[in-house]
Amino acid sequence: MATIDDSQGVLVLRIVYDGPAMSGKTTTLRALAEGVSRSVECPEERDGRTIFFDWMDYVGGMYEGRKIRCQTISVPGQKELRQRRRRLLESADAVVCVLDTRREELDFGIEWLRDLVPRCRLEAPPVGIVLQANKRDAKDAVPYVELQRRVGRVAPIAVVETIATTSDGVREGFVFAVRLALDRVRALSAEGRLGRGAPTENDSEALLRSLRTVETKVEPRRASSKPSPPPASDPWSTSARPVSEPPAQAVAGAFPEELVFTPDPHMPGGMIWPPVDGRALLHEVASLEITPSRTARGEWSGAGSGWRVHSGTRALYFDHDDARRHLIEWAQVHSASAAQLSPGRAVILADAGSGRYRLWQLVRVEAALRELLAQVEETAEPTTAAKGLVDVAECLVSARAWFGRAKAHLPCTLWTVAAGRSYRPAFIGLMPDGPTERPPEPQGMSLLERELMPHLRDLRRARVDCAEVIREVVSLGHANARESPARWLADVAARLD
Amino acid sequence: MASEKQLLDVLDKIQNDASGFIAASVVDLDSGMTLAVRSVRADFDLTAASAYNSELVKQKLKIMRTLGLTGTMEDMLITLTDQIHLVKLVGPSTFLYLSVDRKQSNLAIVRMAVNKHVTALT
Repeated sequence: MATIDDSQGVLVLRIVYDGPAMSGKTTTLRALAEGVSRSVECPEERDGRTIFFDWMDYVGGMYEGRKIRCQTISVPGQKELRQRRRRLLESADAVVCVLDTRREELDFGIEWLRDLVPRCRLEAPPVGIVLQANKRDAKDAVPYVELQRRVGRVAPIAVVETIATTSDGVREGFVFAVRLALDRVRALSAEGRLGRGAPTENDSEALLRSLRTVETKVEPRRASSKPSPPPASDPWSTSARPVSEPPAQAVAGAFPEELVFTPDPHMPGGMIWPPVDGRALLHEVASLEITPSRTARGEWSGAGSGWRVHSGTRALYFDHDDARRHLIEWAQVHSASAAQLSPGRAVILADAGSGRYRLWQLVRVEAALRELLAQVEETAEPTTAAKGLVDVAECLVSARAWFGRAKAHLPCTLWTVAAGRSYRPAFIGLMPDGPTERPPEPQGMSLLERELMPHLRDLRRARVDCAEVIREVVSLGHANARESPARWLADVAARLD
Repeated sequence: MASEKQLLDVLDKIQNDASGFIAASVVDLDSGMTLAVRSVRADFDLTAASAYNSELVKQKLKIMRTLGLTGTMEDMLITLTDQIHLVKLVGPSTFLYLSVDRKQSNLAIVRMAVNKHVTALT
């Protein structure tokens, strides 16, 4: 919700304090408010428990000549108020996750964090998280090293130790969150997406009104006899299961032929992931007139003008809710593997006619390692060609290791790895929609043998100086360590009969 | 990074050693947000002063980059008719800001008071 309010000359940010009930969110906010001589507003607080939110407005700091106004709010931690929490989190520019770090509470806290992280990463740019390790003065507080290790398994998140009751560390956590929010603002600004104008929820009363309006709108829907689609871009749906399985097979019946997918940027919200960028991509693809066709295997596929659209055989659903659930699951899989995936992707749930829905993926075409290899094969100079082959081998091996860390199974081939050397190679293929278990994927020399041996054979047919290229490859390999891509490639090349 | 308590201890010590002390803060350079504050004057807007000084430091660093100066900025001194303001960088992303009454102090005292205690912040 970051916005530049020119009328006040301020950048408005929203820092949201999230965390389980009784973890110390309200205490933190009060400690923070006391430190900066502000007060906390708690609409409809009941028995000291936050029912809607706690609110503290603070103006401090500077961003490009504008004062920074922080709408600092905490969410209700009670399970039954999760919808409110969700709405408040959706508006965050940075989240401070307050966890009770006493041993008996930490497991629950870590699960809470595990739930929070993918939600914050659905946004692009993602919403930064600071972990506020609270109640550090407790006798049974988990040691810092163990805490860091456990948090590190969820995601790389900065941990700030606090004792909210004495305000220790509270301001440090807040300032860190503001920095994260400013990083996001810079990214939004660079993309021309930073909002302008006064925020719609300019004070606690406006926010309260807004929450109540949304909640009263939701109620009649539930009462309606006809199930309505979930709210727009709702990867938070409580029905979403945190699993990474791809779409399950729908039972086919006697139905008329499916509607052919036409990319439509005006399709309803909640059917596109990622919610904002996905629509922009759809807009781009819509102007290209790509018409997918059905393959002999029953998949739908289309390509052109730098884009691919694809839908697997199992991606047809006969029930809207089921289809939505799978869209959300796929969104989660994409988000969890975002570091490995190439940018320029969207998942679309499109009407397939007769009450059916089909899940599509749109992927921008990127240059693959295979194309780099083709350039190498055409290189006249044997030494340069050999070096190019070693480069390709190194890219493949590093991609294999990097893809192995993804939540989804990302096959590593010459066609699925982006060309160009990077310590974080990108997966540019279609997201597989096969079974959840990962098929065995070769690595090291076996991977190079599978991917490069056929090309080395082609090279021998195509180049008269192939022996010289191979000699150079072997020579480069032997100049490297035994367990290195160059050496493995040399061993593969040496086997060329 | 020192805790807020440690930062406040340092500011307290500077307050004791710098005669004519008006206010001091430890500031996050990136956001201009204060990490710790001490003030003896209610009318001195330390939050705003810290924020604007963060812009000042950023601009000066930009100037240094533009001029190709490779040295490291240690401090910035602003002398007003009635006050002395000292900005002392204490890390790549943090600085200490101190304001003293010029009638009751001088540059040597200010620098000494800051340099004596600032190492605890790094």
